[in-house]
Amino acid sequence: MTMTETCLSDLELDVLLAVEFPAASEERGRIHVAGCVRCAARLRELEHGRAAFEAMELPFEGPRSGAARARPRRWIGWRSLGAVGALAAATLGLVVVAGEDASGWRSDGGAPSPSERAGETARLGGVRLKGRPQLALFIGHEGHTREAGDVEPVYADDQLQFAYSSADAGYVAVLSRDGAGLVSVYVPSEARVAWPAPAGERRLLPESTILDGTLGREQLYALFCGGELELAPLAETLRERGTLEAPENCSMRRIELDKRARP
Amino acid sequence: VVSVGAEAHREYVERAYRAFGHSVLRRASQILANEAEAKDVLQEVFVGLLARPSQFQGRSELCTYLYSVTTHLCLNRMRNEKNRNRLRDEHAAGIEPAAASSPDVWAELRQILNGLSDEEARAAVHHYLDGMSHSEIGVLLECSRRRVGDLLERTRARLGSVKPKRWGGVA
Repeated sequence: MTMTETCLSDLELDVLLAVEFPAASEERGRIHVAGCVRCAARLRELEHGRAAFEAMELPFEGPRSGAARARPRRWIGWRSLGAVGALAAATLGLVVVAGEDASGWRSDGGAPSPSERAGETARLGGVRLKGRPQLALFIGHEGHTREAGDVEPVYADDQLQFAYSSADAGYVAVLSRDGAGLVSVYVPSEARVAWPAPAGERRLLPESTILDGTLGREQLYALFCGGELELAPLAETLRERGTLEAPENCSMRRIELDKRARP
Repeated sequence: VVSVGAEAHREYVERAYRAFGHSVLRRASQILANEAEAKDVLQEVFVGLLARPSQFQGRSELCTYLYSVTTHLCLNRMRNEKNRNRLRDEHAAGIEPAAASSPDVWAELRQILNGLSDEEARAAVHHYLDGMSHSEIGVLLECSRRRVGDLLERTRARLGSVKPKRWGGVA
């Protein structure tokens, strides 16, 4: 079988095989294959290759979750952030300092002290905290910061910073399912279990997120739990079901981001 | 170019995977001679397509894009020092070329690909592996047919006495 100048390349033959997509013109290729022994044979080989590929049942995995995948978002530690958290505090008229802070958001993100981990009731600023843990999200956009409602318009490169208030120590995690259906653990980004959160009022989580360019509706699930929480099963549930229910012994806040293209 | 919503785009990419996944895997396997790495490239190619915010006009444009990006990703991997050493050691053993291609030529080409410029290597892959015409390669490389001819001439010079032929026996 000799190849002639009019014979089809593999690319052209692959195009002929891809009937799932519209083709502007494939008549020339079909006519040639009908009259060319070499190209007809090669097309059959490629067809067999396609059938073998389908038989392999090799699914499209999509981006991997967690640390294994190329992360589309940039994660930054609180200490180097200096942006949305500070703006969040400024927006609320609070003073941010590292360490104990009775008046504003706590910015150190450090491990809880033994007394905090013991779950004793926190007294901050003379106010005894009561009730369920509270979770808040601040969004930094072009130098301005606002507290998010349950549905928020956002843009690529906007900064997200979660905060919480709780009378008791617990464990915090933030998970996301973005507009492309991809699930990520925002906080803590590199851990197996939820972040151990000391009791306190208006404490900032130790990591912030800068949003990538994936547009569409993104669901955020912020969890504050009374006990240690494995993250992988949660992420898997969110991936499979597309939504998340609050696990036992957890408070959960769900926020929907409407990520739009920058004007 | 048609912009679509995220969910629709995901479905589009999965449809593209069903239609062209075999082609991407076949070519990646041929270029890399490593099934595991070829499967990684397969996923990488379509994850990359997922990240593109637009669709292509028809199957030809999409297939052309997938050929180009597969070649690019494979050549990048081949340039990795570890892979270079492995290829040298294995001397192209284990490669399973397309039935219609010339295994001798492709084995020789794989040996010299790392010594070529990116443009030369891409032209060589599309010419000797895919059997593309100079015009088709020109579209992929965004250059003239004459430029493609020059690139392939340089490749032939590097091959020395091998005198490669396109599969099917036509130079």
